[in-house]
Amino acid sequence: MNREAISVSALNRYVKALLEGDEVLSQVWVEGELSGVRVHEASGHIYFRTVDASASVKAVMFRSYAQRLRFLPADGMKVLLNCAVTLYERGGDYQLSVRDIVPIGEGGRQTQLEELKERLEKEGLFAAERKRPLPARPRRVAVITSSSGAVIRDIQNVAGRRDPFIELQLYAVNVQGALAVNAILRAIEALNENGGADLAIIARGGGSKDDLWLFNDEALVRAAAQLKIPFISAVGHETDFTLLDFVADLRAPTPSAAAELAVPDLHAELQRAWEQLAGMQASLSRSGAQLALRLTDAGAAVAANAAAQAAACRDKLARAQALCDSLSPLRVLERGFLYATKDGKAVRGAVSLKAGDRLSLTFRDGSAGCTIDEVSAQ
Amino acid sequence: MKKQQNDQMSFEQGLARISEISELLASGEPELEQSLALYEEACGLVARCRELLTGAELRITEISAAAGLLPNDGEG
Repeated sequence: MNREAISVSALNRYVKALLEGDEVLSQVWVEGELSGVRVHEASGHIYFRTVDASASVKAVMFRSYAQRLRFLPADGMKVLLNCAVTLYERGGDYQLSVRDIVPIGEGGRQTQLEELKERLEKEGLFAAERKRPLPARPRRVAVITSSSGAVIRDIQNVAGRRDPFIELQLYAVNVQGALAVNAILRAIEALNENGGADLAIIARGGGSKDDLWLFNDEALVRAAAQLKIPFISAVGHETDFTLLDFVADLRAPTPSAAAELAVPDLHAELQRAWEQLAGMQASLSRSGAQLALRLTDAGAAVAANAAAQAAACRDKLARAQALCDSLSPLRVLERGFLYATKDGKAVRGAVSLKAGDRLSLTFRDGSAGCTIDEVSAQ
Repeated sequence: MKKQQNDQMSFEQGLARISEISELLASGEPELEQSLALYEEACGLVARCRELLTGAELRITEISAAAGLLPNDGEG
């Protein structure tokens, strides 16, 4: 009997080397169900067990891989694991070092979601009475979303266009991958502690169903329900629904829409105030017009009077003119007569004339000078 | 004096004053001459508010209270 012994450490090291040296075990796909999923806060690694009907195996997904995940691993998920088999030396447990997780069996995940939804609904988390009204004029709006990407830009643009006097507080978080839930949980916690904001928006841009799945996370939904200020959920596009939408005080179809719902449009308010004032202007002009009308009435009386006077004057004038005209010597000339003047004075009779006098004869169409040859008085 | 006061007004105060003037005018209490002065004041305020609104820029502050967040590489 060989009593030569080796240390535990050496044993584990040896077995580990054996496992890692195996060609099959260094790159293998394992099908199973996730169980006991736990994200380690400090390191970002994800720990869980993979189970089937009769067996289970430990698994770890290191942060560098976990970050690339497009969805949130959750208990009960049926998955394919791309992994290497290794051994954790300190515990002696063999485990899967997971590089990628591919969910299979959408049905199972959906069923689980329905169950969770029903459970939370029964607890009253989605009740209409829980919905708080949004502040009419928020001063500070907290936005929990990624600091990169279009979402925060869209919200900033829309909000800034509507009410540039508000302040946006960005709680920058991951909204992608397995670590996003923890980040959002921390942000919610920080927001509750900080205070200051009077409205919150939890937003994420569009993505696949897997991308958005983390907003169905039970812990996240429960934490959101504990937000001290009203919040709007804005995850994905109009057709995407997550449990966060149900617990939110208001669901917005898109992040831009969330900004519109959150922030009143001051341009429109100013416009309304202006229109109200314009209405006043109308009434002002009405009263002004009334005044003007009174003035016009008075003026009209004066004018009418003046017109009558003027007409009377005109009549008088016309009559006087007619009289003048009828008396005018010019009228006589019209009929072919003429008159004579001597030294600018009308000649009224032959008696005032003598031979050699110069006369001026005025006709209808002009005048002529002439000299008197002889005078024969009657 | 009033003009100077109005120049110091915030958008909010301006908007409130415009509404106040509208109500005053609606009440029909002020004499026509005073009404015209109020109306003129309100018109000035509308212009002032419009100016404030177009001149203002939204402030955005990033809250890092959620310490220990991973570098943000998520898609918006």
